[in-house]
Amino acid sequence: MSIIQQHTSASLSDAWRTINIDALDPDSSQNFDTTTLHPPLPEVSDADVRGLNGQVRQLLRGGDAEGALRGCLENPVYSGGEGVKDAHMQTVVEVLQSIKASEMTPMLQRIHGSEGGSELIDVLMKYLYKGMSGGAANGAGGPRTSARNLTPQPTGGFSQVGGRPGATNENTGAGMSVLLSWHEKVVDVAGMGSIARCMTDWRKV
Amino acid sequence: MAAPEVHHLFHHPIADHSFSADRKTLAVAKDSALELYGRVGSAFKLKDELKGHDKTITSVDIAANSGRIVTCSQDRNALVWEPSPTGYKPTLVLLRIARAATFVRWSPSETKFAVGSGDRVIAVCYFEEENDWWVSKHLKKPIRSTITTVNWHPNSVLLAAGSTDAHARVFSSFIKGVDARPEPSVWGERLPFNTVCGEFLNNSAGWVHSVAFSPSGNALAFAAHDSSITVVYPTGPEQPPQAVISVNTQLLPFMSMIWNGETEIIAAGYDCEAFRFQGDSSGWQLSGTLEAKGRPGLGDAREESALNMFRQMDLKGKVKDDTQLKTVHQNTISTVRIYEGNGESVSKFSNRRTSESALSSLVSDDQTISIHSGDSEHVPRIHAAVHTIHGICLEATKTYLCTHEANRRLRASSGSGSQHHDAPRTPSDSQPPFTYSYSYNASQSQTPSSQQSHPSDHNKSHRSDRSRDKDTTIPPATNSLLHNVSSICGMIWTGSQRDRLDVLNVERLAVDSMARLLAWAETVALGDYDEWAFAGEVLEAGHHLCAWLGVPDAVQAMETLEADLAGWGRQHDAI
Repeated sequence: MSIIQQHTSASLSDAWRTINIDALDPDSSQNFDTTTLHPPLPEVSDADVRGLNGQVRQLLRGGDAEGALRGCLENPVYSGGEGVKDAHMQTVVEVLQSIKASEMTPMLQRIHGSEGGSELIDVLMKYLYKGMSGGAANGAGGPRTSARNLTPQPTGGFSQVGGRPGATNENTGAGMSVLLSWHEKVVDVAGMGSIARCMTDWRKV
Repeated sequence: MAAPEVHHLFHHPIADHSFSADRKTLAVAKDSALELYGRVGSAFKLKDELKGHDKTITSVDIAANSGRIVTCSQDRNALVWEPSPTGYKPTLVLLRIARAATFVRWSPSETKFAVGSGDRVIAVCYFEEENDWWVSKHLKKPIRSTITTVNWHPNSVLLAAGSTDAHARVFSSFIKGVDARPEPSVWGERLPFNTVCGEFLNNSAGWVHSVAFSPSGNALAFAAHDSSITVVYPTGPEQPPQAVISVNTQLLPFMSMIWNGETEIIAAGYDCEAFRFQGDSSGWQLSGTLEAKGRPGLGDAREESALNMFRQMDLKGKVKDDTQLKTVHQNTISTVRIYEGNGESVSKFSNRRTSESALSSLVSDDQTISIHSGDSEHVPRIHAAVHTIHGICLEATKTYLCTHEANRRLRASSGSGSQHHDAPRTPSDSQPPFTYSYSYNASQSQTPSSQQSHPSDHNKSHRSDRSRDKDTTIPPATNSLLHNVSSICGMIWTGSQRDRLDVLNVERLAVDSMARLLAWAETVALGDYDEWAFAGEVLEAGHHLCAWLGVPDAVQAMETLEADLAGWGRQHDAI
């Protein structure tokens, strides 16, 4: 008893689904550069990242781990080449690895409680996920791309027992466990909202 | 916050719901049919099923005054259901969209409605008298993606829309001949159709799930998929807004929200419960959840036998059954609506939740609607009432103690032989306690004959006890209700000890009344409730306490307060 009977035959068959009407529509998102929807982000150059890396290392050497962490989270690389992004990722991982497990939670709580702190924690979450995706999870010493080279294993990269040759394997595992324990602490402090924002945010690190 | 009313309607996700203005009819979108439920007593019973759409209905709205229902569906159509004596008559609306319609709301004037769609347009529909037909005009620019939600400004011209392109926008939907020219506002002065009055984006730019104008229409809030809400306070046309405040929460994203006055927002979503935000143009913050207590029985872990514990470990690999959430809703809340309000403040709201079908077989109550009654002026008022009750009771106990003290002194000086009356009253003794010289003699004549006929030797022995400890038995009145009541209990007990050989059951009666007095006093003194049901108990306890003490001023004050609160309390308990 539908008053829109004329549509029924068409909508019952699936044929119309095979037509990509977006391709035909000049206004559709397919024919539209969606990045123009957001305000542009400043381009970060290789030199900037190296400069920042130097400053962060200096803070670390001075024993100011929190300052170092804040330093690299306040200047995330959203826009720049893959190399630049990976270099900054490397800096973040270095800082994370140098912080003791017992200091993680108090430090995160201090950062989260400060002005604009929730934004910094969100940035940290993005780096954790980037790290865990296999981009640069390996330790500070190893070559940057080794983890990526290791992943196409039959185990899909999840198993850490066997199947992988050499000492770099252990290195990856250690790096991963650092990220995982940080992830746990960050979720404790910043909640699920932090993960939701990490997945939602268009500013990728 | 009273406990929510929970109605379980069926085992299926609810996309949207709407109450009629009298709250007797509830329209619920269930698949491709619209179900109408009528309130029967305290429950909602299925009354009617409106079928007309071919695909899932995505949204429904009942116009408050005309009672017309508008629905929109994934079949790209909207239907207006006109109430008539023989049932609802559907009218098709020409939307001219190529994708699903996602959201529909009547304008406050009820002459228009707006339909959001996946076709990157909002169809603003109005009735054209000449053709006897609903027609639509499209708001198109600069929408880049699906419209997820719309919300009307109180002036029925401005329309806010949220979209998956992460923007919340404010448009003018002015239609000549339908709308009166709107008053100039912070959003603009001249507002031809499709004027973009505002376009907002928060930092992380998640999909916008919900937009809402504040009751005055001078602020706009939106909730996005980055678990945030953002409130925008515009300054004027073509100027940057005076404040854009984003609150990033630790929670999962919010799907729907409503304003409660200008300084409070209630939002709910993937966390399956509603949260409250408070603030103004200087800042906003999350102030807590609306579900103060967990549902009884769910929160507290039952004590288990060791055998049972190991059995659970063996069967399920864990001890606790954690398949149920502690919240009323067991799945995402998709819509929050104002249930009862006067434009300025919301006293009740309702929300709906969706559910995964996989879950439906496990969980017995699956689709619920909960109606929360709310609070902004409600809670302080209850607090004030409880406070007043406490004050009255405290004064009553003070009067009681002072009067007894005075009576005793009087008796001591007059040296009267009849000293029964300085004994604390037992429930059988109903005279007012403050009887000064004159009334004291009068009350003497009402003394029960049983007490008059005491053997004189008893009287003598007791008299000597009492004259010894007469200054110590009545402690001075203090500023603590519980202290005073415990002093009174002490007096009752002393009295009962004195009379135990003369009066049948006197000790039992004394213990009874002591227990009752203490229970009332505790209820009054410790009553710190924000729910009307409990405040009622405090009122009752206070009433009993004053009546027992028999202080006329206090009894009268309690009665006045009770009469004062009765009308108001009933009004809040009605639904």
